[in-house]
Amino acid sequence: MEIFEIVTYFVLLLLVSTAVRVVTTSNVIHAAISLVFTLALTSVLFLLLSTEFVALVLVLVYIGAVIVLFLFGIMITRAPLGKNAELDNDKNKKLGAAIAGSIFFLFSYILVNGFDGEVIITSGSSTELLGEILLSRFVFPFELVSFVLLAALIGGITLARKDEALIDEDQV
Amino acid sequence: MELLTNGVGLSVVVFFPLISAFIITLIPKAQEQLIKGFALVSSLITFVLSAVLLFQFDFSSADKLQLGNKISWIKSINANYEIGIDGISLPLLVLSTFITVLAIIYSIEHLPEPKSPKGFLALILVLETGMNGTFVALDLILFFVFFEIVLLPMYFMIGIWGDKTVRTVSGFKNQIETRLYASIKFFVFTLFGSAFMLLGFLGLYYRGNKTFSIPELIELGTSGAFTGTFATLVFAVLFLGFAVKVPMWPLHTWLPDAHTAAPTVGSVLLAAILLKLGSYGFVRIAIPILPEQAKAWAPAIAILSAIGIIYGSLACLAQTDLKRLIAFSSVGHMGFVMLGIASLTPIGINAAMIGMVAHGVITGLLFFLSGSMAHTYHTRDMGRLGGNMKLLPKTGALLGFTAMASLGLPGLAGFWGEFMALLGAYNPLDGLNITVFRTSMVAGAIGTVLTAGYLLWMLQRVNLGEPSDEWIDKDLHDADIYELSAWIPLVVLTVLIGVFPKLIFGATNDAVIAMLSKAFGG
Amino acid sequence: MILPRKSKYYVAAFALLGTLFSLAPLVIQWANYTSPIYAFENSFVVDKFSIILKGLFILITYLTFLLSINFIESDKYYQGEYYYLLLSSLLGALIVSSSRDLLTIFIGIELASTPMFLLSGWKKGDRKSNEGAIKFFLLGVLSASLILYGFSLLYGLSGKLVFSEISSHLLSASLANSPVVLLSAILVISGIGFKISVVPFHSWAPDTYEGAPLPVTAYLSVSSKATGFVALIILLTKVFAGSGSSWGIILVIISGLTMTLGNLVALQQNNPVRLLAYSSISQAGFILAPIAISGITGDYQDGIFASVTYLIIYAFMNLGAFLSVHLFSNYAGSTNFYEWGGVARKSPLAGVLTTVFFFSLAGIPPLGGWFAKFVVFRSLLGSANSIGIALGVVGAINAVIALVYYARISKVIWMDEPKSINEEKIFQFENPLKVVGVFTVLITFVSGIFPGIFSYLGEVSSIFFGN
Repeated sequence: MEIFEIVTYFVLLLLVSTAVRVVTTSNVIHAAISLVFTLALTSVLFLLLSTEFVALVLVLVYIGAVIVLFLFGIMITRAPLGKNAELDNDKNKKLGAAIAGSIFFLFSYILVNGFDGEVIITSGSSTELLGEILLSRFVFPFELVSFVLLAALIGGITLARKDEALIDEDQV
Repeated sequence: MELLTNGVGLSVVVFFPLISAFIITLIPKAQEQLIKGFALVSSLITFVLSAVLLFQFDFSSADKLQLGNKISWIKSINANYEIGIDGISLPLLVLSTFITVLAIIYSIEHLPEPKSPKGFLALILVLETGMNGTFVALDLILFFVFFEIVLLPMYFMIGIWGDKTVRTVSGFKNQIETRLYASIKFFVFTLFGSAFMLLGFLGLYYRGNKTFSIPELIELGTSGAFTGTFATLVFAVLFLGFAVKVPMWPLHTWLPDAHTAAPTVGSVLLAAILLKLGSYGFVRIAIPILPEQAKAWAPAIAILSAIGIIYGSLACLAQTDLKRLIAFSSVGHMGFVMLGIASLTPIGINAAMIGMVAHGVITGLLFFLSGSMAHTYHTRDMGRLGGNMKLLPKTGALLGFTAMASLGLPGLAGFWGEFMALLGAYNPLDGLNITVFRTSMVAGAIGTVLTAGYLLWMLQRVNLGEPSDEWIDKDLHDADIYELSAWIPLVVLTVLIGVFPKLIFGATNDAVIAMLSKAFGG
Repeated sequence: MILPRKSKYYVAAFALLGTLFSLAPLVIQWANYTSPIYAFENSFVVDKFSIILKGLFILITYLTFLLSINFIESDKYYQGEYYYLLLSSLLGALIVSSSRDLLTIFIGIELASTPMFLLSGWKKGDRKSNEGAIKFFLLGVLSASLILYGFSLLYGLSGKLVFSEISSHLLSASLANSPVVLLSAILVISGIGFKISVVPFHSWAPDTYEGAPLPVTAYLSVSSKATGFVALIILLTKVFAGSGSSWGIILVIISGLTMTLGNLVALQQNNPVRLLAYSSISQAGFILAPIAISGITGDYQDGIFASVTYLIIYAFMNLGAFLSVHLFSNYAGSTNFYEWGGVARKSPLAGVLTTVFFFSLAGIPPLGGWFAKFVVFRSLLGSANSIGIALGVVGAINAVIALVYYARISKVIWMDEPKSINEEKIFQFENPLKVVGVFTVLITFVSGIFPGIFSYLGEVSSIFFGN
C-alpha cells in the first residue's frame, strides 16, 4: 500500500495548491481553470477510494457542465478579462486565511482522532448497486430531488427572462 | 340566587364590561348618543350587580373567600379560572365599578380631544374588566392576565387623548408631546415590573406543588414551604412588580407624567383604581404567601414609604401645575398605604385598606375637579389661576372640600388611612425593628403636616384671592349637571367613610386579622 | 401523500383550493390516528406531531396565498410560477416534519428553501430585491453545505441514515459525546441557524426581508423559520439526544444573544419590514430557548412543547403583522413608518388589527403572544437550573425592550398627527386580506384567552419523543 498512499498524498497536495490558487488569483479565467483542476483532482481522490460513480458524476456535472457554464458566463457577459484589481483584497485575505487554517486544523484534529485507523467501507461500491438502491430504498428522496430541480428551473427561467415592462420601469 | 353565589355573578361583573365594549365597537360611529347611552347603562348594570353581590356577601365570615368558583382553564399548566372575593377585595371591587360609572357619566359631555366617544368609552369598559378581574382573581396566572389587561387601554387613553403640550425630555433629541412620552413610560415601567413578577409566579409554581392557586399557595407558604434565597428572590421580584404599580419611591417617576398627561377620566381611573392594583397585590399575594420574607423586607418597605411620603409632599410644594401637584400627592398618599402594609399589623393593614378606598375617592375627585378646571381655564398653571371661588363657585367649593379631605381632616375619609397607618407604624408586628418604624412614623407625621401645607397653599393660590384680569371678561362655565352628578356621589362617600369608617372596616377587619394570624401566627 | 403536487396549475384560485383540500387527508389521518405509521424503512413517519405541523404549514401557505393575490395581480409578477414555487416550498416543509432519515430531511430542507431563494428576488427591477436574494442564496448554499458536512460525519461514524439507528448506534458505541458527534452537531446547528436566522447567522435576514415581495417576506419569516425549527428539533432530539448537555450550552448562548441583539437593532429601525425582520430574529431566540434548556436538563418533552407552542402562535401573529405593514405602507406609500402618522383613523379596522398583532408580538395579555412567552418562561424556570433561570431573566428584560418598538408602530398610527395623508385617497383593504386579518386575529385572541387548546401539544410532544 506504499504506492497508494504516496499517490494519495501527492494528489492531496496538488488539490490544496490548486484550491488556494482559485481564491488567490486575481484573474477570473485563471480562477475558473484552477477550479477545473481542483475538481478533477477531487474526482481522482474518489477514484482512489474506488467510488467510481461519484468520480464520474464530478467530472460530468461539475467539470463538464458547471465550469463550462462559468466560462461561458464570463465570456458572454461583459466581465473584465485579465487581471482585476477588485478581486485583490489583502485585508480580508489574511483574515480568511487565518479562519480557513484554524478550521482546517480543528477539523483534521477531530476527524483524525475520531476515525483513526477505522476502515469504514470494506466492499467496493459499484455503480450498479447505487442505482438499484436509489430507485428502491431511496426512491422517495430521489423523487423529491426532482421537485427541487424543477423549482430551480422554473424560478431560474422566470428570473432570467427578459421583461420589457420591468426594464422600462427600472430605467425610469 | 344560586347564580349569584356560584361565581357566575362575579364573572358577569368582570366580563360584562368587556362584552359591552365589543358591542360598542359594532355601533356605527355616527350614533353618538346610542354609544354613550349604552356605555352608561352597561357600566350601571355592572355596578348594580356588584352592589347586589354586596348583599349576597356574608359579612359574618368576611375572612372566607366567597361567591367564587373554580373551573379548569389551562389544563397543561394547572392554571384555573379561580375567582372569589373576601373582605379585602370586596370594597375595592365595588369602588372600581362605582368609579367607572362616574367616569362614564362625566365623559358624556366632557370628552377629551379628539372627540371619539366610541373608542374612548370602549377603552374605559375594557379597563374596567381588567380592574375588576384583578380584584376577584384567585389564580396567579389569571391575576397576571387581568393585571396586564389594564395596560393597553390606559396606554391608548393617555397616548391618544392625553396632553398635547410639547416639551423637552432629557434623553430625547427632539421635543416630544407629553402624552406620547408619558404613555410609553407608563407602559414600559409597568411591564418591566410585571415581567419579573411573572418569573416570581413561576418560581412559586415550581416550588409549590405546581399550583397557581392563591389560597393553596397561602396554605403552603404559611406552613413554611418557601424559604431561603429562593423565597428572597421571589419576594424581590413580586415587590418589583407591585411597587412599580403602587408606585413606591424610587419607582414612581412614571406616575406624575402619566397622571398629568392623561385625560381627566384617565387620571381619575389611574389614581382611583390602577394604583390600588399594586398595593392590593401586596396584601393578597406577597405577604400571605411569603410571610417570613415580608417580615424581612418590612423595614425596607417602611423606609421607602416614609421617603415616598416626604418626597411626595416636598415635590408638591415645588409644583406650579395643578394636576402635577395632585399626581405627586398620590405618591405621598400611597406612601401612607404602604407604610400601613409594612407594619404587618391588623391596624396597619386595615389602615391601608381604608386608605386605598379613601385615596380612590378623594384623589379621583381631585382629578375630576382639576381636569374640569383645566378644561375651563385652558391652563393648569396655578400662577395664573386664582379667585376660583368667585369665578366658579361650585367647583371652587368642591375643591376646597376635597382638599380638606385629602389632607386628612378628621371626620372625612382621608383621616383614617393616615392616622391609623401612623398608629400601625408606631407599634409594628413583634420582631420588626421598632426604631425603623418609629422613625418612619415620625417621617409620616411630618408628611401629614407638609400635606396640609401644600394643599392649603394650593387652595390659597387657586381658590382664594381676586381673579386675575385675564379671566374677568371671559365667559366661564361652572360645573354642569353631568359633572355634578359625577362628583356629588364621591363627596357623599367621602363624608360617609369619614363618619362611619366601619363601612370599610366591617368588611376588611376580619379578613385582615385572619390573613395576618395565618401568616404570622396569633 | 399530501396533495399540493396535484395543484400546480397556474391560477390563484386553484392553488388556494388545492392547499385547502390538502388539509382533508390531514383531518382524516388525525381522526383515524392510532399509532405512528412508518414508511420507507422508518425514514418517513406520520404521527400526531407531524400532522399538527403539517396543518400549520398548510394554513400558513394558504394565508400567504391570500396575501399574495392582489400583490401578484398587479401584473409585474409571474403568477403561475410564483404559486408553483410557494407550493414546492410548502412540500419541502411538509416533508421535513415527517422525515426521519438524513437524506429525506436534507432534501426536505432544500426543497423548502430553494424556491425561496428565487422568490426573494422576484422583484426583478428592484436592486434591493436582487441584493437580498443574492445574499440569501449564497448564505443558503453555505448553510446547506454545513448541514451536509454534519450529516456526512454522522453517516461516516455510524454507516446509517435513519435517525433511530444512528442514535442507537451512537449510544451503544458510547460515541454520544465524542468530538466528531459534537462537531457534527455544531455544523448542523450552524447550518440550520441560517434558516432560522439566529445570531450570528442572521445577517442576511433584514436585507432579504426588505427586498423580497411582502407576501414572500411574510412566508420567509414564518414558514421558512418554522421549517428550520422543526428540522432542528427533530435532529437534536432524535439524533443528538445523547449529547444534549454540550449543544444545550451552545444553544443557550445563541438564544440569549439572538434575543438581545435582535431587539437592540430593532429599536433603531424606521422601516417596518426591517423592524419585523429584527423582531423575528429576536423571537427566534425565544423559540430556541426551551430547546436549549431541554438539552441541558434532558426534559425534551417540555422543551418541544414550549417551542412548538411558541412557533404556532408566533406564526399567526407575525403573518398578521406583515398584513398590517402591507396595508399601511401601501396606503401611505412610504416605507418609513414614522410617516404613517394617524393612518389608523383612515381605517380603524386595520388600525385595531395592527395594534392586536404588534402587542401580541410584545406578549401583552390577553393576546396570544403572552401565552407563548409564558410557556417559554415556564420551561426555563422549570428546569430549576441556574442557566435556565439566567436565560429567563434575559428573556424578561428583552420582553420589555421589545415592547418599546412594538408599541411605537401603534403609537404612530393612532397617536401621531397625520402628516401627508391625502383625504381623497381610499384605503385599500381587499377582501382576501380581510380574510387573513380576521383569521389571524381570531387565532391570536383564542390562543391568548383559551390557551388550554395547546394542552394537547404536551401529549403530542410526548408521543413524538416516545417513539
